[in-house]
Amino acid sequence: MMATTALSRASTPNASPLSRQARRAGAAPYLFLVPWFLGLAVFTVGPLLYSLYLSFTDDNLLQSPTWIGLANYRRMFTDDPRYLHSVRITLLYVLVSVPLKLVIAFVVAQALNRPRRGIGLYRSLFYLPSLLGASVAVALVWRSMFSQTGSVDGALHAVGVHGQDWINNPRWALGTIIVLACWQFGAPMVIFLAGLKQVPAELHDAASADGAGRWARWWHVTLPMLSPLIFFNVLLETVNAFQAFTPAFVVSQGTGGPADSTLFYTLYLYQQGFSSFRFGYASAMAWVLLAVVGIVTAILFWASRFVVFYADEGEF
Amino acid sequence: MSGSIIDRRGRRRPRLGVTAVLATAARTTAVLATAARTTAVLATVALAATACSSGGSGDSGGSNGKVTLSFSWWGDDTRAKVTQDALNLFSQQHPNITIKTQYAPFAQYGTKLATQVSGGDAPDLFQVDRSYQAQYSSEGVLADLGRYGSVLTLSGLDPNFVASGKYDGKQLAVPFGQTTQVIVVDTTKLQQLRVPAPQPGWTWPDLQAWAQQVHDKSGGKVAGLADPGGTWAAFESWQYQHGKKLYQDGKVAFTRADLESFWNFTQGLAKSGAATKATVTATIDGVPADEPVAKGAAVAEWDYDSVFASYVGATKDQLEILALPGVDGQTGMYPKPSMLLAVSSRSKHPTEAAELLSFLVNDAGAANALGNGRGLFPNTQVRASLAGTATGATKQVYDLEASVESSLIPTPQAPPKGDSDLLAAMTRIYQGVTAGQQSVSAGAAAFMQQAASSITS
Repeated sequence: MMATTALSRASTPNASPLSRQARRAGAAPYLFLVPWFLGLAVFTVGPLLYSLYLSFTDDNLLQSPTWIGLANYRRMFTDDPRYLHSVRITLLYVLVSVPLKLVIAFVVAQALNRPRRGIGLYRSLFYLPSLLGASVAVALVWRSMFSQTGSVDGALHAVGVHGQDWINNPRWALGTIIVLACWQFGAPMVIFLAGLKQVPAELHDAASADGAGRWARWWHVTLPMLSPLIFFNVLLETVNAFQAFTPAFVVSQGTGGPADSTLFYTLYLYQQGFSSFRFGYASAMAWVLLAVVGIVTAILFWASRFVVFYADEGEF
Repeated sequence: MSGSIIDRRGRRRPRLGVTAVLATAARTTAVLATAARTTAVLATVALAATACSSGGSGDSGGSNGKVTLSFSWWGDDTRAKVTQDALNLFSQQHPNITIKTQYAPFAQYGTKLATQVSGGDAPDLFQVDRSYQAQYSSEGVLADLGRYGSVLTLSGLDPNFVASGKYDGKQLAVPFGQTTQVIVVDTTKLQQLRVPAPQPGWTWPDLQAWAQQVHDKSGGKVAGLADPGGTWAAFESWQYQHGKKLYQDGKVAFTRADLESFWNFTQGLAKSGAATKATVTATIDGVPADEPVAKGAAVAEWDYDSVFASYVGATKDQLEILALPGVDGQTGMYPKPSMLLAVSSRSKHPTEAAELLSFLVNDAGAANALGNGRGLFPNTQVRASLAGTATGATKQVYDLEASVESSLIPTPQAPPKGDSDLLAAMTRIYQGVTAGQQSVSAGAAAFMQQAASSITS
């Protein structure tokens, strides 16, 4: 973790000559940063503000936008059942896939934490799916695996389960995407694994000496020590899940189907912007998403004060 | 310092808590920035669009009269090759004109073209899809082709068909291929199942009985028909067969009851097994190779005859095309522009662009190069001479077209802005209906609500 080195250096007395040097350098560092600032202004901040402006207009790409005030925002909540449907689908996805993925990541991390022959290989193998990440290729493979003649169906047939076309069934399509998300548990797993390795052995030893069993040690030592990482993973995965796009786009071939069962928020936003050319409306949707993700993040941070234990604050 | 603790091997190591807090803060910022990027992507497109407002494209005429035209269209590599062949012919005849082409698959084409148009960087000549025709026509994007009569000849085309490119009385686009609605039938499968092939002049009850026979004789393994309930254009045909319309003067002309009667019929087929079940119906996506007939899940499927060649390419079975089943002898079939060609109103070389357009819809050499991949060639004389020498699947299309020509109804007006939304909504809502998530009447109500918000002109 990069931040650590920076922190420990800054907090030691050696740091002061460094900062004096920086002061002497004056404007030079900023000069070197200019290209980056330009990029930020032109490609991120500028468009961002412009999209905020567009969200109050009826922009349709072909005609110059007209100011329509809050009409786009009103429309979302009063006159667009598909919008509310996409919100429901996204919330369902976030609420199911995030906990499931993290539990799997945690369990696997625990299992991979024991010294064993070839453990490095196992760790790499379990991490592999995440390297493929949100790639289009994986989603395509997923689509074919869970389709009518796919290998999942074939495997189920082999064990006597009457399979079906998962991807094209509105009842199961979202489920297959959730399974895809859970399968890519590698990133949180690696973080959990790193955390598990950092739990000081002396704490376990002390707890054992006090007569704590395996479960008690896990509950009273491992879990509290890992709570910052659990919080970190929950936050990251939640924010990511809110923005999930690629799997739904590829699996449903851009339609959010069948029957809107995989109409993620971002997918609907994309459809409104790029299929129906309602750029103003799509911009408004993007800003609502940004606001919601911001609020959820704030709530998670607030809640973390009550459940997350930081070793340097507490008493051993 | 509280920044580190001693681990069991005696090494100093940073404390977990501080590390995690810092890392969390850093990553959160990054992730929030990612969320912001969603908005940024949208905005970049729009901004790029407004920022570069220099009109037209290609070089302005050089001293020796050299002109560069840009031509943009959608399609696959096969179409790219034949199009390039046709354009090469044009370049040979017009050495002073250089043509730059761009093409993209249909799904991306619409976005790309809209972005170019809004940035004032529209191609000189481009393909326009029927369902977006009204949008482009109404917003001053397309040049009035009436002004270029000296280089653009349309007298060789059927006047009614040419009129399909008009908007508010102005010729803003020209059809670039003619197609019509048909049923594709797999006759190899029919022979295996010992079910007689349907005959022209059939009715919907005939189709139902026949499709049921396919289902029964195959032991329920194969459906007679790929369920057309989610196909917007099939509903359009249904309306014409019943003496009704889809749109009238840019407004919705179908009712909830019309939609319910269509869906009640298709649901009747689906429930008895005569038409495909929900999960198979959901695979109908406009790419014949992915669809029920090519996959062997159905024996017949509704489509346009311009894509018949794709069906032929997707299966080893022998296929035939048949006129739609009719109601009181009305099939509701009409000559449909598979796509149109238009000149940008901001083109710097509109005359040359119109000249190229004229070549692409009239010239015999162009017709030879292009083949039938965009439907029948627009110029009727050239089309007739090509029909005489056609073979295989191409001949099947010509034969079908010849047999139904007298019964075709006139091409309706271009659908209003928002039609493409309804095309998608039809598929989406019917998927819910046929999967049993929604009743026919609830689905029809949802569709009417979508129609009210999409068709606003």
